[in-house]
Amino acid sequence: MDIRFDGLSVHYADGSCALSGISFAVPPGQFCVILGHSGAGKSTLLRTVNGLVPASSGSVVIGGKAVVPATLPALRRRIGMIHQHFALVPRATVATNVIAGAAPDMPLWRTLPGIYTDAHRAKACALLAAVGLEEAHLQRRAEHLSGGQQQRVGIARAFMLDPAIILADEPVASLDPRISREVLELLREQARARGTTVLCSLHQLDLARAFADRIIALKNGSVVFDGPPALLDARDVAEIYAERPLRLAAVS
Amino acid sequence: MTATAAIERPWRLPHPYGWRSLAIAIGALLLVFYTGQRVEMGRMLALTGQAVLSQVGLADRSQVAEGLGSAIGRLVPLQISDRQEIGRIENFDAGHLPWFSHLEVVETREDRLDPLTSKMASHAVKTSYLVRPLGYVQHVALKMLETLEIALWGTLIAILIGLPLAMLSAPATMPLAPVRTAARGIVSFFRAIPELISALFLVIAYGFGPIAGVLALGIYAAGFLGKFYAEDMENADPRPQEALVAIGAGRLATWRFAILPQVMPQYIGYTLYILDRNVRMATVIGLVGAGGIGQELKGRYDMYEYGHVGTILIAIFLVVLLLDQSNARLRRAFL
Repeated sequence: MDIRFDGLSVHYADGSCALSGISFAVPPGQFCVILGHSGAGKSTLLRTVNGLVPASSGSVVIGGKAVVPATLPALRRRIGMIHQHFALVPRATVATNVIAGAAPDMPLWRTLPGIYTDAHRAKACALLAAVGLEEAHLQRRAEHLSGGQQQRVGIARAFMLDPAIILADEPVASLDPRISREVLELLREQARARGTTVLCSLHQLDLARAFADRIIALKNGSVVFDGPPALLDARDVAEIYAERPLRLAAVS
Repeated sequence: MTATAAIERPWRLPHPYGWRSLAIAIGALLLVFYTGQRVEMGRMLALTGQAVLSQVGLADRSQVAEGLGSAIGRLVPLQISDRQEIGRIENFDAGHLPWFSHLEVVETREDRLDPLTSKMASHAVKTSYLVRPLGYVQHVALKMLETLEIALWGTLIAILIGLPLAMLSAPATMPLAPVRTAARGIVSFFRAIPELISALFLVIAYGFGPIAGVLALGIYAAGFLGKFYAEDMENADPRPQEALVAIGAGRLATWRFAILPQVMPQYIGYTLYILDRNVRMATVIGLVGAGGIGQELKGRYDMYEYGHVGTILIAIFLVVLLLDQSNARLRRAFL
Protein backbone atom coordinates (compact mmCIF):
# COMPACT_ATOMS: atom_id res chain seq x y z
CA MET A 1 0.00 0.00 0.00
CA ASP A 2 1.15 3.55 -0.61
CA ILE A 3 1.26 6.31 1.98
CA ARG A 4 0.50 9.93 1.14
CA PHE A 5 1.05 12.89 3.47
CA ASP A 6 -0.96 15.96 2.45
CA GLY A 7 0.00 19.20 4.18
CA LEU A 8 0.30 17.31 7.46
CA SER A 9 0.86 19.40 10.59
CA VAL A 10 0.95 18.25 14.22
CA HIS A 11 0.78 20.65 17.14
CA TYR A 12 1.05 19.36 20.67
CA ALA A 13 -1.20 20.50 23.47
CA ASP A 14 1.51 22.84 24.83
CA GLY A 15 1.46 24.73 21.52
CA SER A 16 4.77 23.39 20.26
CA CYS A 17 4.83 22.37 16.64
CA ALA A 18 6.14 18.88 15.88
CA LEU A 19 5.43 18.77 12.15
CA SER A 20 4.41 21.51 9.74
CA GLY A 21 3.19 21.20 6.18
CA ILE A 22 4.58 17.75 5.38
CA SER A 23 3.63 16.57 1.87
CA PHE A 24 5.10 13.56 0.11
CA ALA A 25 4.05 10.13 -1.05
CA VAL A 26 5.68 6.74 -0.50
CA PRO A 27 4.94 4.19 -3.28
CA PRO A 28 4.27 0.53 -2.36
CA GLY A 29 7.33 -1.55 -1.55
CA GLN A 30 9.68 1.37 -0.98
CA PHE A 31 12.21 1.32 1.87
CA CYS A 32 11.98 4.93 2.91
CA VAL A 33 14.26 6.25 5.65
CA ILE A 34 13.25 9.32 7.65
CA LEU A 35 16.50 10.97 8.71
CA GLY A 36 17.04 13.71 11.24
CA HIS A 37 18.44 14.44 14.67
CA SER A 38 16.52 13.93 17.92
CA GLY A 39 13.43 16.07 18.13
CA ALA A 40 13.20 16.66 14.39
CA GLY A 41 9.74 15.03 14.29
CA LYS A 42 10.65 11.57 12.92
CA SER A 43 8.72 9.60 15.56
CA THR A 44 5.74 11.92 15.32
CA LEU A 45 5.63 11.48 11.55
CA LEU A 46 5.61 7.67 11.86
CA ARG A 47 2.94 7.78 14.52
CA THR A 48 0.54 9.78 12.40
CA VAL A 49 0.49 6.84 9.97
CA ASN A 50 -1.17 4.46 12.46
CA GLY A 51 -3.02 7.19 14.32
CA LEU A 52 -1.03 7.01 17.57
CA VAL A 53 -0.60 10.76 17.05
CA PRO A 54 -3.59 12.52 15.42
CA ALA A 55 -2.99 15.09 12.69
CA SER A 56 -3.74 18.68 13.70
CA SER A 57 -4.29 19.69 10.09
CA GLY A 58 -3.74 18.08 6.70
CA SER A 59 -4.10 14.35 6.26
CA VAL A 60 -2.43 10.97 5.91
CA VAL A 61 -3.91 8.69 3.26
CA ILE A 62 -3.05 5.00 3.11
CA GLY A 63 -4.07 2.94 0.10
CA GLY A 64 -6.73 5.54 -0.76
CA LYS A 65 -8.15 5.61 2.80
CA ALA A 66 -7.65 8.63 5.06
CA VAL A 67 -6.36 7.90 8.58
CA VAL A 68 -9.31 8.96 10.73
CA PRO A 69 -10.73 7.32 13.87
CA ALA A 70 -13.37 5.46 11.83
CA THR A 71 -10.83 3.75 9.55
CA LEU A 72 -8.17 3.18 12.25
CA PRO A 73 -9.15 -0.30 13.51
CA ALA A 74 -9.07 -1.77 9.99
CA LEU A 75 -5.96 0.18 8.93
CA ARG A 76 -3.92 -0.67 12.02
CA ARG A 77 -4.15 -4.41 11.26
CA ARG A 78 -2.36 -3.72 7.98
CA ILE A 79 0.43 -1.69 9.62
CA GLY A 80 3.16 -3.39 11.62
CA MET A 81 5.38 -1.44 13.98
CA ILE A 82 8.94 -1.91 15.21
CA HIS A 83 9.99 0.10 18.25
CA GLN A 84 13.17 1.73 19.47
CA HIS A 85 13.19 -0.08 22.82
CA PHE A 86 11.75 -3.25 21.25
CA ALA A 87 8.54 -2.90 23.33
CA LEU A 88 8.54 -6.61 24.11
CA VAL A 89 7.09 -7.96 27.34
CA PRO A 90 10.29 -8.91 29.19
CA ARG A 91 8.78 -11.71 31.27
CA ALA A 92 6.81 -13.30 28.44
CA THR A 93 8.41 -15.93 26.24
CA VAL A 94 9.79 -15.15 22.81
CA ALA A 95 7.00 -17.21 21.21
CA THR A 96 4.26 -15.38 23.14
CA ASN A 97 5.74 -12.01 22.24
CA VAL A 98 5.62 -12.90 18.55
CA ILE A 99 2.15 -14.45 18.70
CA ALA A 100 0.96 -11.24 20.40
CA GLY A 101 1.51 -9.64 17.00
CA ALA A 102 -1.55 -11.54 15.77
CA ALA A 103 -3.73 -10.38 18.70
CA PRO A 104 -6.24 -8.47 16.53
CA ASP A 105 -6.87 -11.70 14.62
CA MET A 106 -7.77 -13.79 17.67
CA PRO A 107 -11.08 -14.30 19.45
CA LEU A 108 -10.92 -13.50 23.18
CA TRP A 109 -11.57 -17.10 24.15
CA ARG A 110 -8.20 -17.93 22.62
CA THR A 111 -6.39 -14.79 23.77
CA LEU A 112 -7.30 -14.92 27.46
CA PRO A 113 -6.31 -18.53 28.27
CA GLY A 114 -3.46 -18.39 25.76
CA ILE A 115 -4.64 -21.21 23.50
CA TYR A 116 -3.43 -20.20 20.04
CA THR A 117 -4.29 -21.74 16.67
CA ASP A 118 -1.80 -24.07 15.00
CA ALA A 119 -1.62 -21.57 12.14
CA HIS A 120 -0.51 -18.75 14.44
CA ARG A 121 1.98 -20.99 16.25
CA ALA A 122 3.46 -22.25 12.99
CA LYS A 123 3.68 -18.72 11.63
CA ALA A 124 5.48 -17.46 14.75
CA CYS A 125 7.99 -20.31 14.42
CA ALA A 126 8.54 -19.63 10.72
CA LEU A 127 9.06 -15.91 11.30
CA LEU A 128 11.48 -16.52 14.19
CA ALA A 129 13.44 -18.88 11.99
CA ALA A 130 13.43 -16.26 9.22
CA VAL A 131 14.88 -13.59 11.53
CA GLY A 132 17.64 -15.96 12.58
CA LEU A 133 16.58 -17.27 15.99
CA GLU A 134 16.76 -20.89 17.10
CA GLU A 135 14.10 -23.31 18.31
CA ALA A 136 15.74 -23.14 21.74
CA HIS A 137 14.79 -19.45 21.99
CA LEU A 138 11.04 -20.13 21.66
CA GLN A 139 10.38 -20.73 25.36
CA ARG A 140 13.02 -18.33 26.69
CA ARG A 141 11.88 -15.09 28.29
CA ALA A 142 12.42 -12.10 26.03
CA GLU A 143 14.44 -10.39 28.79
CA HIS A 144 17.09 -13.11 28.57
CA LEU A 145 17.90 -12.28 24.93
CA SER A 146 20.54 -9.82 23.74
CA GLY A 147 19.42 -6.47 22.32
CA GLY A 148 19.93 -7.60 18.73
CA GLN A 149 17.98 -10.79 19.35
CA GLN A 150 15.18 -8.81 21.02
CA GLN A 151 14.84 -6.56 18.00
CA ARG A 152 14.73 -9.65 15.79
CA VAL A 153 11.78 -10.81 17.90
CA GLY A 154 10.28 -7.34 17.41
CA ILE A 155 10.62 -7.71 13.65
CA ALA A 156 9.06 -11.18 13.69
CA ARG A 157 6.15 -9.77 15.71
CA ALA A 158 5.63 -6.92 13.23
CA PHE A 159 5.25 -9.41 10.35
CA MET A 160 2.69 -11.66 12.10
CA LEU A 161 -0.32 -10.10 10.36
CA ASP A 162 1.41 -9.80 6.94
CA PRO A 163 1.27 -6.01 7.07
CA ALA A 164 1.32 -3.94 3.89
CA ILE A 165 3.27 -1.23 5.73
CA ILE A 166 5.90 -1.41 8.47
CA LEU A 167 6.73 1.57 10.63
CA ALA A 168 10.19 1.19 12.17
CA ASP A 169 10.75 3.86 14.83
CA GLU A 170 14.53 4.09 15.40
CA PRO A 171 14.76 0.28 15.28
CA VAL A 172 18.52 0.19 15.91
CA ALA A 173 19.00 3.21 18.19
CA SER A 174 19.87 1.01 21.18
CA LEU A 175 22.06 -1.47 19.28
CA ASP A 176 25.78 -1.37 18.47
CA PRO A 177 26.85 -0.57 14.87
CA ARG A 178 27.52 -4.13 13.74
CA ILE A 179 24.24 -5.50 15.11
CA SER A 180 22.46 -2.43 13.74
CA ARG A 181 23.55 -3.34 10.22
CA GLU A 182 22.47 -6.95 10.68
CA VAL A 183 19.05 -5.94 11.94
CA LEU A 184 18.44 -3.38 9.19
CA GLU A 185 19.67 -5.87 6.57
CA LEU A 186 17.17 -8.38 7.92
CA LEU A 187 14.33 -5.87 7.96
CA ARG A 188 15.01 -4.81 4.37
CA GLU A 189 15.28 -8.41 3.20
CA GLN A 190 12.01 -9.44 4.88
CA ALA A 191 10.22 -6.36 3.52
CA ARG A 192 11.54 -6.95 -0.03
CA ALA A 193 10.42 -10.59 0.02
CA ARG A 194 6.87 -9.53 0.88
CA GLY A 195 6.63 -6.24 -1.01
CA THR A 196 6.10 -4.40 2.28
CA THR A 197 6.37 -0.61 2.33
CA VAL A 198 8.77 0.45 5.10
CA LEU A 199 8.93 3.82 6.78
CA CYS A 200 12.02 3.69 8.97
CA SER A 201 13.32 6.53 11.10
CA LEU A 202 17.06 6.70 11.75
CA HIS A 203 19.47 9.27 13.07
CA GLN A 204 22.65 7.62 11.70
CA LEU A 205 23.56 8.99 8.31
CA ASP A 206 25.75 6.03 7.26
CA LEU A 207 22.97 3.52 7.96
CA ALA A 208 20.46 5.61 6.07
CA ARG A 209 22.81 5.80 3.08
CA ALA A 210 23.45 2.06 3.15
CA PHE A 211 19.86 0.82 3.37
CA ALA A 212 17.43 3.40 2.03
CA ASP A 213 15.76 3.39 -1.37
CA ARG A 214 14.93 6.97 -0.58
CA ILE A 215 15.85 9.37 2.22
CA ILE A 216 13.55 12.03 3.58
CA ALA A 217 15.29 14.34 6.01
CA LEU A 218 13.36 16.25 8.64
CA LYS A 219 14.49 19.29 10.53
CA ASN A 220 12.36 21.16 13.05
CA GLY A 221 9.25 19.46 11.67
CA SER A 222 9.80 20.20 7.97
CA VAL A 223 11.20 18.21 5.07
CA VAL A 224 14.66 19.52 4.13
CA PHE A 225 15.73 16.74 1.78
CA ASP A 226 13.85 14.19 -0.31
CA GLY A 227 15.61 11.92 -2.74
CA PRO A 228 17.71 8.80 -3.26
CA PRO A 229 20.79 8.37 -1.02
CA ALA A 230 23.11 9.06 -3.92
CA LEU A 231 21.83 12.64 -4.19
CA LEU A 232 22.48 13.42 -0.52
CA ASP A 233 25.60 15.62 -0.62
CA ALA A 234 27.73 17.25 2.07
CA ARG A 235 25.74 20.49 1.98
CA ASP A 236 22.49 18.63 2.67
CA VAL A 237 24.13 16.79 5.53
CA ALA A 238 25.42 20.03 7.02
CA GLU A 239 21.91 21.47 6.72
CA ILE A 240 20.25 18.43 8.35
CA TYR A 241 22.65 18.27 11.26
CA ALA A 242 23.23 22.02 11.69
CA GLU A 243 23.05 22.81 15.38
CA ARG A 244 19.84 24.13 16.68
CA PRO A 245 20.11 27.28 18.77
CA LEU A 246 21.17 25.89 22.13
CA ARG A 247 18.29 26.62 24.45
CA LEU A 248 19.90 25.04 27.52
CA ALA A 249 21.63 28.37 28.15
CA ALA A 250 18.26 29.91 28.89
CA VAL A 251 17.75 27.71 31.97
CA SER A 252 18.12 29.99 34.96
CA MET B 1 40.47 27.86 33.39
CA THR B 2 39.89 26.50 36.86
CA ALA B 3 36.59 25.14 38.01
CA THR B 4 35.95 28.07 40.33
CA ALA B 5 36.62 30.63 37.63
CA ALA B 6 33.46 29.53 35.80
CA ILE B 7 31.32 30.66 38.73
CA GLU B 8 30.87 34.40 38.91
CA ARG B 9 29.48 34.45 42.42
CA PRO B 10 29.59 31.64 45.02
CA TRP B 11 26.67 29.25 44.54
CA ARG B 12 24.29 28.75 47.38
CA LEU B 13 23.72 25.15 48.46
CA PRO B 14 21.43 25.17 51.49
CA HIS B 15 21.83 22.71 54.35
CA PRO B 16 19.42 19.78 54.17
CA TYR B 17 17.81 20.82 57.48
CA GLY B 18 16.71 24.30 58.38
CA TRP B 19 14.50 26.03 60.97
CA ARG B 20 11.43 24.61 59.30
CA SER B 21 12.60 21.04 59.73
CA LEU B 22 13.48 21.75 63.36
CA ALA B 23 10.02 23.23 64.01
CA ILE B 24 8.37 20.18 62.39
CA ALA B 25 10.52 17.82 64.46
CA ILE B 26 9.63 19.63 67.71
CA GLY B 27 5.95 19.66 66.75
CA ALA B 28 6.00 15.93 65.97
CA LEU B 29 7.76 15.18 69.26
CA LEU B 30 5.19 17.18 71.25
CA LEU B 31 2.38 15.34 69.46
CA VAL B 32 3.96 11.98 70.25
CA PHE B 33 4.30 12.86 73.94
CA TYR B 34 0.78 14.23 74.16
CA THR B 35 -0.83 11.17 72.57
CA GLY B 36 1.48 8.88 74.55
CA GLN B 37 0.22 10.40 77.77
CA ARG B 38 -3.39 9.93 76.63
CA VAL B 39 -2.90 6.20 75.98
CA GLU B 40 -1.13 5.76 79.37
CA MET B 41 2.28 4.88 77.99
CA GLY B 42 3.90 6.10 81.22
CA ARG B 43 1.87 3.67 83.32
CA MET B 44 2.67 0.90 80.81
CA LEU B 45 6.39 1.51 81.27
CA ALA B 46 6.07 1.60 85.06
CA LEU B 47 4.05 -1.63 85.24
CA THR B 48 6.32 -3.46 82.80
CA GLY B 49 9.41 -2.27 84.66
CA GLN B 50 7.93 -3.46 87.93
CA ALA B 51 7.19 -6.87 86.37
CA VAL B 52 10.76 -7.21 85.18
CA LEU B 53 12.11 -6.13 88.57
CA SER B 54 9.89 -8.63 90.38
CA GLN B 55 11.21 -11.41 88.19
CA VAL B 56 14.81 -10.64 89.13
CA GLY B 57 13.81 -10.24 92.77
CA LEU B 58 14.17 -6.49 93.09
CA ALA B 59 10.46 -5.77 93.65
CA ASP B 60 8.00 -7.50 95.96
CA ARG B 61 5.03 -8.13 93.74
CA SER B 62 3.80 -7.09 90.37
CA GLN B 63 0.24 -7.01 89.17
CA VAL B 64 1.31 -7.62 85.56
CA ALA B 65 3.59 -10.57 86.31
CA GLU B 66 0.94 -12.21 88.49
CA GLY B 67 -1.78 -11.64 85.91
CA LEU B 68 0.30 -13.06 83.08
CA GLY B 69 1.45 -15.94 85.24
CA SER B 70 -2.04 -16.97 86.24
CA ALA B 71 -3.32 -16.62 82.67
CA ILE B 72 -0.59 -18.85 81.30
CA GLY B 73 -0.85 -21.18 84.29
CA ARG B 74 -4.51 -21.81 83.53
CA LEU B 75 -3.73 -22.92 79.98
CA VAL B 76 -1.84 -25.96 81.25
CA PRO B 77 -2.32 -28.86 81.38
CA LEU B 78 -3.32 -28.73 77.72
CA GLN B 79 -6.46 -30.62 76.82
CA ILE B 80 -5.41 -33.56 74.66
CA SER B 81 -8.03 -36.25 75.14
CA ASP B 82 -11.75 -36.20 74.75
CA ARG B 83 -14.25 -37.85 77.11
CA GLN B 84 -17.88 -38.21 76.27
CA GLU B 85 -20.69 -39.79 78.22
CA ILE B 86 -21.92 -42.68 76.07
CA GLY B 87 -25.54 -41.95 76.88
CA ARG B 88 -25.17 -38.73 74.92
CA ILE B 89 -23.70 -40.36 71.83
CA GLU B 90 -26.23 -41.20 69.20
CA ASN B 91 -26.23 -44.78 67.87
CA PHE B 92 -23.50 -45.79 70.25
CA ASP B 93 -22.33 -49.36 69.60
CA ALA B 94 -20.00 -50.73 72.26
CA GLY B 95 -18.93 -53.46 69.83
CA HIS B 96 -17.50 -50.98 67.36
CA LEU B 97 -15.51 -48.36 69.19
CA PRO B 98 -13.66 -45.73 67.18
CA TRP B 99 -9.95 -46.32 66.74
CA PHE B 100 -7.65 -45.89 69.73
CA SER B 101 -10.55 -45.28 72.04
CA HIS B 102 -11.60 -47.11 75.15
CA LEU B 103 -14.46 -47.11 77.59
CA GLU B 104 -14.08 -45.81 81.08
CA VAL B 105 -16.56 -46.53 83.84
CA VAL B 106 -16.70 -44.10 86.67
CA GLU B 107 -18.50 -44.99 89.87
CA THR B 108 -19.80 -42.12 91.88
CA ARG B 109 -21.87 -42.18 95.02
CA GLU B 110 -24.97 -40.12 95.08
CA ASP B 111 -27.25 -39.36 97.98
CA ARG B 112 -30.85 -39.79 96.99
CA LEU B 113 -34.12 -39.77 98.83
CA ASP B 114 -35.48 -43.30 99.16
CA PRO B 115 -39.22 -43.09 98.47
CA LEU B 116 -39.95 -46.11 100.66
CA THR B 117 -38.12 -45.07 103.75
CA SER B 118 -38.28 -41.33 103.20
CA LYS B 119 -34.63 -41.21 104.14
CA MET B 120 -31.53 -40.18 102.30
CA ALA B 121 -29.59 -43.17 101.10
CA SER B 122 -26.31 -43.44 99.32
CA HIS B 123 -26.37 -45.11 95.89
CA ALA B 124 -23.56 -46.13 93.63
CA VAL B 125 -24.03 -44.69 90.14
CA LYS B 126 -22.03 -46.06 87.24
CA THR B 127 -21.45 -43.82 84.27
CA SER B 128 -19.69 -45.04 81.12
CA TYR B 129 -17.53 -42.67 79.16
CA LEU B 130 -16.01 -43.08 75.74
CA VAL B 131 -12.43 -41.84 75.99
CA ARG B 132 -10.42 -40.96 72.92
CA PRO B 133 -6.86 -40.23 74.00
CA LEU B 134 -6.22 -37.79 71.14
CA GLY B 135 -9.87 -36.84 70.66
CA TYR B 136 -9.59 -33.15 71.39
CA VAL B 137 -6.46 -32.70 69.28
CA GLN B 138 -8.37 -34.35 66.44
CA HIS B 139 -11.29 -32.02 66.98
CA VAL B 140 -9.02 -28.95 66.96
CA ALA B 141 -7.30 -30.20 63.81
CA LEU B 142 -10.67 -30.49 62.06
CA LYS B 143 -11.65 -26.99 63.16
CA MET B 144 -8.27 -25.74 61.98
CA LEU B 145 -8.87 -27.36 58.61
CA GLU B 146 -12.18 -25.52 58.42
CA THR B 147 -10.35 -22.28 59.19
CA LEU B 148 -7.88 -22.94 56.38
CA GLU B 149 -10.75 -23.71 54.01
CA ILE B 150 -12.47 -20.46 54.99
CA ALA B 151 -9.24 -18.57 54.31
CA LEU B 152 -8.74 -20.28 50.96
CA TRP B 153 -12.27 -19.54 49.78
CA GLY B 154 -12.07 -15.99 51.13
CA THR B 155 -8.99 -15.55 48.96
CA LEU B 156 -10.63 -17.09 45.88
CA ILE B 157 -13.66 -14.83 46.23
CA ALA B 158 -11.36 -11.85 46.74
CA ILE B 159 -9.58 -12.61 43.46
CA LEU B 160 -12.86 -13.18 41.60
CA ILE B 161 -14.22 -9.81 42.78
CA GLY B 162 -10.95 -7.87 43.04
CA LEU B 163 -9.54 -8.56 39.59
CA PRO B 164 -12.59 -7.36 37.61
CA LEU B 165 -12.85 -4.32 39.90
CA ALA B 166 -9.17 -3.54 39.30
CA MET B 167 -9.68 -3.80 35.56
CA LEU B 168 -12.70 -1.50 35.78
CA SER B 169 -10.68 1.07 37.73
CA ALA B 170 -7.51 1.18 35.59
CA PRO B 171 -7.32 3.57 32.62
CA ALA B 172 -5.60 0.95 30.45
CA THR B 173 -8.60 -1.38 30.59
CA MET B 174 -11.53 1.01 31.20
CA PRO B 175 -11.74 4.16 29.06
CA LEU B 176 -14.84 5.59 30.75
CA ALA B 177 -13.83 7.83 33.66
CA PRO B 178 -17.18 7.61 35.54
CA VAL B 179 -16.97 3.80 35.58
CA ARG B 180 -13.39 3.98 36.90
CA THR B 181 -14.47 6.36 39.65
CA ALA B 182 -17.37 4.11 40.60
CA ALA B 183 -15.16 1.00 40.65
CA ARG B 184 -12.58 2.79 42.80
CA GLY B 185 -15.36 3.84 45.15
CA ILE B 186 -16.49 0.23 45.57
CA VAL B 187 -12.89 -0.89 46.14
CA SER B 188 -12.37 1.78 48.82
CA PHE B 189 -15.66 0.85 50.45
CA PHE B 190 -14.70 -2.84 50.61
CA ARG B 191 -11.34 -1.99 52.09
CA ALA B 192 -12.93 0.27 54.68
CA ILE B 193 -14.87 -2.60 56.33
CA PRO B 194 -12.69 -4.61 58.69
CA GLU B 195 -13.41 -8.34 58.54
CA LEU B 196 -14.45 -8.50 62.19
CA ILE B 197 -17.15 -5.85 61.70
CA SER B 198 -18.56 -7.26 58.47
CA ALA B 199 -18.47 -10.77 60.00
CA LEU B 200 -20.70 -9.51 62.86
CA PHE B 201 -23.36 -8.46 60.36
CA LEU B 202 -22.88 -11.40 58.01
CA VAL B 203 -23.40 -13.79 60.93
CA ILE B 204 -26.77 -12.14 61.47
CA ALA B 205 -27.57 -12.50 57.76
CA TYR B 206 -26.23 -15.99 57.04
CA GLY B 207 -26.23 -17.51 60.53
CA PHE B 208 -23.31 -18.95 62.51
CA GLY B 209 -20.77 -20.84 60.44
CA PRO B 210 -18.24 -20.58 57.67
CA ILE B 211 -20.39 -18.74 55.06
CA ALA B 212 -20.20 -15.50 57.01
CA GLY B 213 -16.46 -15.99 57.49
CA VAL B 214 -15.73 -16.62 53.83
CA LEU B 215 -17.73 -13.56 52.74
CA ALA B 216 -16.25 -11.27 55.39
CA LEU B 217 -12.69 -12.21 54.40
CA GLY B 218 -13.52 -12.09 50.69
CA ILE B 219 -15.04 -8.62 50.78
CA TYR B 220 -12.16 -6.94 52.62
CA ALA B 221 -9.50 -8.75 50.59
CA ALA B 222 -11.31 -7.86 47.33
CA GLY B 223 -10.91 -4.22 48.33
CA PHE B 224 -7.24 -4.76 49.06
CA LEU B 225 -6.50 -6.72 45.90
CA GLY B 226 -8.65 -4.41 43.75
CA LYS B 227 -6.55 -1.43 44.82
CA PHE B 228 -3.14 -3.04 44.44
CA TYR B 229 -3.94 -4.95 41.23
CA ALA B 230 -5.08 -1.67 39.66
CA GLU B 231 -2.03 0.27 40.86
CA ASP B 232 0.32 -2.21 39.26
CA MET B 233 -1.56 -2.09 35.98
CA GLU B 234 -1.16 1.68 35.96
CA ASN B 235 2.56 1.40 36.68
CA ALA B 236 3.16 -1.25 34.01
CA ASP B 237 5.58 -0.31 31.23
CA PRO B 238 3.40 1.43 28.58
CA ARG B 239 5.66 0.53 25.62
CA PRO B 240 4.48 -3.07 25.10
CA GLN B 241 0.91 -1.82 25.51
CA GLU B 242 1.45 0.75 22.80
CA ALA B 243 2.92 -1.92 20.56
CA LEU B 244 -0.35 -3.86 20.84
CA VAL B 245 -2.56 -0.79 20.41
CA ALA B 246 -0.53 0.20 17.32
CA ILE B 247 -1.52 -2.97 15.48
CA GLY B 248 -5.17 -2.63 16.42
CA ALA B 249 -5.47 -5.07 19.33
CA GLY B 250 -8.51 -4.63 21.59
CA ARG B 251 -8.31 -3.58 25.23
CA LEU B 252 -8.66 -7.07 26.69
CA ALA B 253 -6.12 -8.51 24.25
CA THR B 254 -3.71 -5.69 25.13
CA TRP B 255 -4.27 -6.38 28.81
CA ARG B 256 -3.66 -10.09 28.37
CA PHE B 257 -0.54 -9.81 26.21
CA ALA B 258 1.11 -6.61 27.43
CA ILE B 259 -0.04 -5.94 31.00
CA LEU B 260 -0.77 -9.26 32.70
CA PRO B 261 2.68 -10.83 32.12
CA GLN B 262 4.29 -7.69 33.53
CA VAL B 263 2.25 -7.56 36.72
CA MET B 264 1.98 -11.31 37.38
CA PRO B 265 4.84 -11.50 39.95
CA GLN B 266 3.37 -8.67 42.01
CA TYR B 267 -0.12 -10.18 41.70
CA ILE B 268 1.15 -13.49 43.06
CA GLY B 269 2.89 -11.62 45.87
CA TYR B 270 -0.27 -9.74 46.90
CA THR B 271 -2.40 -12.86 46.64
CA LEU B 272 -0.01 -14.87 48.83
CA TYR B 273 -0.04 -12.04 51.37
CA ILE B 274 -3.85 -12.08 51.36
CA LEU B 275 -3.88 -15.86 51.80
CA ASP B 276 -1.54 -15.52 54.78
CA ARG B 277 -3.57 -12.67 56.24
CA ASN B 278 -6.84 -14.55 55.67
CA VAL B 279 -5.61 -17.59 57.63
CA ARG B 280 -4.78 -15.36 60.59
CA MET B 281 -7.99 -13.33 60.26
CA ALA B 282 -10.08 -16.49 59.86
CA THR B 283 -9.08 -17.52 63.38
CA VAL B 284 -10.10 -14.10 64.69
CA ILE B 285 -13.49 -13.75 62.98
CA GLY B 286 -14.47 -17.13 64.40
CA LEU B 287 -14.79 -15.21 67.70
CA VAL B 288 -17.99 -13.60 66.42
CA GLY B 289 -19.35 -16.94 65.24
CA ALA B 290 -18.10 -17.05 61.67
CA GLY B 291 -16.90 -20.63 61.86
CA GLY B 292 -13.56 -22.34 62.27
CA ILE B 293 -11.12 -22.53 65.15
CA GLY B 294 -12.02 -19.08 66.48
CA GLN B 295 -15.56 -20.14 67.18
CA GLU B 296 -14.24 -23.15 69.14
CA LEU B 297 -11.82 -20.88 71.02
CA LYS B 298 -14.55 -18.44 72.00
CA GLY B 299 -16.83 -21.27 73.13
CA ARG B 300 -14.17 -22.87 75.36
CA TYR B 301 -13.03 -19.52 76.73
CA ASP B 302 -16.58 -18.62 77.70
CA MET B 303 -16.89 -21.95 79.54
CA TYR B 304 -13.62 -21.36 81.43
CA GLU B 305 -12.07 -24.44 79.79
CA TYR B 306 -8.61 -22.93 79.62
CA GLY B 307 -6.88 -26.25 78.95
CA HIS B 308 -8.81 -26.46 75.71
CA VAL B 309 -7.92 -22.84 74.96
CA GLY B 310 -4.23 -23.70 75.43
CA THR B 311 -4.43 -26.53 72.89
CA ILE B 312 -6.17 -24.23 70.41
CA LEU B 313 -3.59 -21.46 70.86
CA ILE B 314 -0.74 -23.89 70.23
CA ALA B 315 -2.51 -25.21 67.13
CA ILE B 316 -2.90 -21.65 65.80
CA PHE B 317 0.75 -20.92 66.50
CA LEU B 318 1.87 -24.08 64.69
CA VAL B 319 -0.29 -23.32 61.66
CA VAL B 320 0.95 -19.73 61.36
CA LEU B 321 4.53 -21.03 61.62
CA LEU B 322 3.88 -23.60 58.89
CA LEU B 323 2.20 -20.97 56.77
CA ASP B 324 5.23 -18.69 56.98
CA GLN B 325 7.44 -21.52 55.81
CA SER B 326 5.20 -22.55 52.91
CA ASN B 327 4.67 -18.92 51.92
CA ALA B 328 8.41 -18.38 51.65
CA ARG B 329 8.63 -21.51 49.49
CA LEU B 330 5.77 -20.40 47.23
CA ARG B 331 7.35 -16.99 46.80
CA ARG B 332 10.65 -18.53 45.80
CA ALA B 333 8.88 -20.80 43.32
CA PHE B 334 6.82 -18.05 41.65
CA LEU B 335 8.84 -14.85 41.85
